[in-house]
Amino acid sequence: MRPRSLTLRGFRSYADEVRFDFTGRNLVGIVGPIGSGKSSILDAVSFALYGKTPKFESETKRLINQRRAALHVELVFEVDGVVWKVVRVLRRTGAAAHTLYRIPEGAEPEEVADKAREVTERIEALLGLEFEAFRRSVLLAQNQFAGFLEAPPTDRSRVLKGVFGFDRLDAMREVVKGRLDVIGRSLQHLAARRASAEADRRLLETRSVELAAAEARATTLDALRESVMQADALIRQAEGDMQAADEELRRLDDLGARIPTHPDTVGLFDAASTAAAGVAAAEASHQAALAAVAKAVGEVEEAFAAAGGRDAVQQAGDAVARLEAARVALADLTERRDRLARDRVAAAEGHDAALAEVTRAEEAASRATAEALAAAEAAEQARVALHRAHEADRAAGLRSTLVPGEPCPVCAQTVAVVPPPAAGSQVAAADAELKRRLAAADAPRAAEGAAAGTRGCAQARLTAGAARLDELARECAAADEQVRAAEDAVARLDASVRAVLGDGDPVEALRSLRARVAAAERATETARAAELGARRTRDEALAARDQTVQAVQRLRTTVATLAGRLGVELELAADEGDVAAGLQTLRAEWLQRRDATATARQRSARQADTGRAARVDLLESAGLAATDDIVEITTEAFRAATALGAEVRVLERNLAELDELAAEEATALAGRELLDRLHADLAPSKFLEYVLDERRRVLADLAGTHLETLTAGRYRFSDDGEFDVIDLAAADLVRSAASLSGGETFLASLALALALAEIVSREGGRLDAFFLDEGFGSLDPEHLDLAMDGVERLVASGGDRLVVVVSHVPALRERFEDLIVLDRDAVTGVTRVVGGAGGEP
Amino acid sequence: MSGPLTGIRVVEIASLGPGPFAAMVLADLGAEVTRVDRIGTGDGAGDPLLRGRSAVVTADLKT
Repeated sequence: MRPRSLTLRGFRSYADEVRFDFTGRNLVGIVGPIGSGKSSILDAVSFALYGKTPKFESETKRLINQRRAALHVELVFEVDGVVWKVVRVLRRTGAAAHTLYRIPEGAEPEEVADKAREVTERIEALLGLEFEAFRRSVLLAQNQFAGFLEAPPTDRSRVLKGVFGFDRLDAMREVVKGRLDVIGRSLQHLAARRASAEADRRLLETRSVELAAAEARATTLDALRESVMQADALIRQAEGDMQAADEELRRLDDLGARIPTHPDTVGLFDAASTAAAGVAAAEASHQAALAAVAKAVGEVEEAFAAAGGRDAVQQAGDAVARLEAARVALADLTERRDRLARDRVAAAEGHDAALAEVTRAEEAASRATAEALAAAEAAEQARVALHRAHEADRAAGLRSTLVPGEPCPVCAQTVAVVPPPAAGSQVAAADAELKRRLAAADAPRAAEGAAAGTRGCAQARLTAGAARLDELARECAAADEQVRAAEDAVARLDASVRAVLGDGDPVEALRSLRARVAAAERATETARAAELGARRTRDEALAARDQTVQAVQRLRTTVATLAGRLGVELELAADEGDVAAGLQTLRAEWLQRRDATATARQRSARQADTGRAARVDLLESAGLAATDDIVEITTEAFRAATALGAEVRVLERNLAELDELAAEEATALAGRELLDRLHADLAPSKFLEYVLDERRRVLADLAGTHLETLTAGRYRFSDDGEFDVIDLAAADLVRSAASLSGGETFLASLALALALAEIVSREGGRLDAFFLDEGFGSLDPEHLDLAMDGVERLVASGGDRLVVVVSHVPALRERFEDLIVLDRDAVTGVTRVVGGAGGEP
Repeated sequence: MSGPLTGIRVVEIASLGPGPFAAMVLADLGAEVTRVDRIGTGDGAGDPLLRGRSAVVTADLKT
């Protein structure tokens, strides 16, 4: 098997699709930091071929990348020159897909298998390796061998047993021992069975006799049971009838206690007829009272009709009242009119007096004016006289200077006469006269003013008196008009009253009419009160009759109900005669029913007694007491017979089986013999020791050859199978493997791993590829070179062989012709292919 | 209870319908009724329809 290409998607840390191409390459290094997905490539090869990996054999879904819903792995590989392609797809939910294709040269792939199991089996056949062998050879377990080389010899044996798969022999021996135990137990059981067989045979004879007797007894009892059950049915029937009759008697007695007796009802029927008579009498008195009321009402109406009807009387009453009022109003108006007339006369007189007073005042005023004028005249004359006196006085002063005919020195006038000599007394007299006259004029002037005032007052009074006189004249005229209107109204009302009440005093006529009506109405009231009393009496009589009717009705209902419960058909009218007759019929019917039921009960009791006696006879015939339960006894007898039958059948079957068991025992004995031998053969033996030793020598020999190649002819393993190392470069010095350096130990363990792979391959496997996973980590640079030299020699030595080395040691990069460099995304943990043979498809 | 037959004594030796009915009517009219029952037929409590207005005597008339 030589891989050509590997394509991954959603597998472990490979979220996205990555393709690795191994075509034409022999030594491929896969490097990268821890967790970058180096080992996942190897897991993918394992998963593609076998559908599982060394770590996940069953929970393969855990191989799906956490960020993806499915994984997809595709491996193209070559076996013996034929190219194959296997594709496996796993989904978190849903079906998986497994397909194997064969790819003929230059042609389309053809599908060979498409079921998981089919694909895996086909690949196992192609490779000649099962999963376990693949794991042990292709994925080289040089780490295991490193531990092996350093272990003490006793542990080496155990490790080798595991390596060669000999530990399976021990497991097989355990299985054989378990089967031997099972056979041993079954043989013991058979022996015990045979020992009890003789006892069974004797017991069978006894039980057979007992079974025949039990069956006969059961049959007899069964027949008896039939008869007894028939008797029981008869007894039950009779007892049921008796119970029914008792029930009916109780019901009848209960009904009978409810049927009213003669003393209960006789009073009621008497009361009913009395009440009916009372109602008729009360009804008659009430009718008479009603007639009296009607008559009294008629009389009232008649009284009204005599005065022209109820409305006319009412109107007349109103008119009389209005007439009285109109008369009073007329009297008031007349009195007022008279008062006004008197006032008017008085006012006219007052006016005349005022007129005379005005005339007198005017005369007095004229007189006063004349006196005042005269006084004023006299005063003027006095003033003139005074003036003259003064002139005369002054001329007298000039007298000495004046010469007649000569001009006056003062006024230049010619002086005609020389003035007399001065008389001083004249001026003083004139002055006194003036003063007297002026004083005499004051009194007449005052009198003139007073007279004027008096005249003004008198004229004012005259004017007011004239106005009042006009006003009174108007009021008198209006009052006259009102009095006439009131008189007309009184005349009209008087006429209308007379039309109803006739001539004479209308008030008196009205009073007498009202007295007549009131008397008639009182009579009506009395008649109505009498009618009310009669009606009450009648109602009481009716109520009393209703009570008796209701009582009769209740009695009728009771009788009808009881008749219904008794099952008697009664046609009952409400009439009490009918009810009484119905009650009597009910009583007669009840008595008859009760007698019939009592008779029927006696008959049923006799039947039950007869049945019980017959039952006792039947049971005694079988030797049983009357109280025994025949059904249970019969069932018990059948059960006993059935149990005996079952026991007999078991015994018979056991005896028959004994023959078959003899054959079974012989087979078991033969099997035990074979297993005993196998158990002895599988025990730890010299032979196994020998085979293991032989294997060990072959392994040491092959590994020695490889070690020689890997170390360029320096070391090989000793031939004795102790895995000591012979240093060919040091005169074949034999050294313990534990004394080798780190790089040398790596090469030694690689040699052992290659040798084991070859042994596996010789047994039918086809291995053209090896995967070295780690193992370099602990080496220093010098030994790393040494180890890599060995690996390169291994590549160079074989034909077209692929060696894949996985390591996290960066220094190894230099040594590979083909390198796949991986890195890990720090955040998502997804693998990235940084460079080398791999790459995005 | 008084009636036309008050003071008259009636002995009823009967079991079928008409007999007891006649006795009842007589009792309703005031007669004093004494009923004679056969052994095992009645309960000795008297006629419910007469409400104790009749006396009951039990006698075996066959012996």
